[in-house]
Amino acid sequence: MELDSCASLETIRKRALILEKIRFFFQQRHVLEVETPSLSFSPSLDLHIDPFNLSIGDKKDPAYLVTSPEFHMKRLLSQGIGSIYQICKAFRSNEIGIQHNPEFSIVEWYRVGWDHWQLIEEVEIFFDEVLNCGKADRVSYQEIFKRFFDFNPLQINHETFLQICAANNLVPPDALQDTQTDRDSWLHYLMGVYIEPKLKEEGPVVIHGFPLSQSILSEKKTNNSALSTRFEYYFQGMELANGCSELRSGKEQKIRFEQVNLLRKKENKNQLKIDQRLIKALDTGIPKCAGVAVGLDRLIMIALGKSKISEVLSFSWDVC
Amino acid sequence: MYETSDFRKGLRIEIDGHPYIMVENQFVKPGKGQAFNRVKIKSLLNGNVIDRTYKSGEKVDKADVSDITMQFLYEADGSFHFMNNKNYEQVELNKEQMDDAWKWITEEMMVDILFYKGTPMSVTVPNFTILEITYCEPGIKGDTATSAVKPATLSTGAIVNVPLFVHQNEKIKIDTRTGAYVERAK
Repeated sequence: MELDSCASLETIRKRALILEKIRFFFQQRHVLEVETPSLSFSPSLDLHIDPFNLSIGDKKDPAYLVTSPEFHMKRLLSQGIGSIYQICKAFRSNEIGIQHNPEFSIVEWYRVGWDHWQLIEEVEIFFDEVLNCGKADRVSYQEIFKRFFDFNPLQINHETFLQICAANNLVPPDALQDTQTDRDSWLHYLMGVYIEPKLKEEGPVVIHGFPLSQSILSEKKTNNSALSTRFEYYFQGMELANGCSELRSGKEQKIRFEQVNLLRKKENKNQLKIDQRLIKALDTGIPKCAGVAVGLDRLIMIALGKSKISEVLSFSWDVC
Repeated sequence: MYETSDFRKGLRIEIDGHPYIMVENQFVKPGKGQAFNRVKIKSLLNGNVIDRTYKSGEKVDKADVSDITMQFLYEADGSFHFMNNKNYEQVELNKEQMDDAWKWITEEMMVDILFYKGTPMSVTVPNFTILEITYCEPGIKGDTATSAVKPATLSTGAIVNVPLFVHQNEKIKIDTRTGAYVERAK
């Protein structure tokens, strides 16, 4: 019989030990474990994240599988629960690859009273405890583009994008050669196709200060309104964590969601319902906090030296 | 047309009037960003491999290629001759076009031949084949436990690694996709 592409029993046992270690990490730090729904009527709203939708009974509106537990966890934060963490499943349609499974596991936590710098410290300790990988190299989003391409990503335009591609033997997709392409698509391309693979050769790296246009849920960086507090943790060329100081204004959040829906419309994507309960929770008052989501399956891939996400899942998408 | 979500190894696509087969497809999605498919594609005409990147949702043309099942007749002077049993049409492929298939092919074997706009380009043999060992060092009786191997020459001239207990003149089953020994054939 041909084997299904899924984790060996040995991997499943080792995975359980890593989960134990993670729970112990938070227990020691007095961060409360919570559980929030996988089903929601208001999905996360992002330009490039597409939720699965399903019909529930005779309800007229579709329900969605959550693409992240963020909205529900923020609603708990607004009730004054304090620092919390969760280990849960998240679901994103159209994301299938050696590092992507449409159903995947997230470790997400929020630290009340902290900013993203304090959280970055803790994220580094978290990864060091599981992967024994030491401290990360910290570099800003602007610095990393300067390092690889010697230009300021905030000033990218059609001409500079094509110049950079030509200088680095990159053939961008036709869709990005159009002058009307938005700036972030060019930056995502350079990041995903050129910079990320190069990070494989380095130790852990934290990239911080992403453009605000790529940080829908993050607080602005105070001194520079075009940048946000969003950061990403990379190791072995893989994005392992995404975090920030959280945006706390319901009014601002609503405006950003409306902008995302406009961009989704431009890309012929469906309009998603704005989560009014989240907006209300933010308006009622959410404490100053920083939060981060870790891709648990990828973390386990690195911990166990596996190159495909299917090797750490009991049953991956193609055999589930 | 194929969409990026159809991309997989072995897909045949056409770019600027040139047919390619996809040899690698990697889904790339930076952070919360736009998704891309990075692919390696191999020309069906000259074997050159090139890199391309597509934005998720982009479309590409299907290549005008077809597979026809044919029977292997014989080899002469480096040419491999095949016949379509339905219309008795014959085609020949040279050793380069055969790629690794020459190692596994036996007379009367049914294979798939790839045609591009009517011209035969390449051949795909069945996943498993049975071939006779024409030469190998003597077998060690009862040694079925160790994982040690020895080289064995097959009737086609190909050399594969086999376990120590396998003898000359025995027939063995081989996985043609990897070239690996599977078991002794009865």
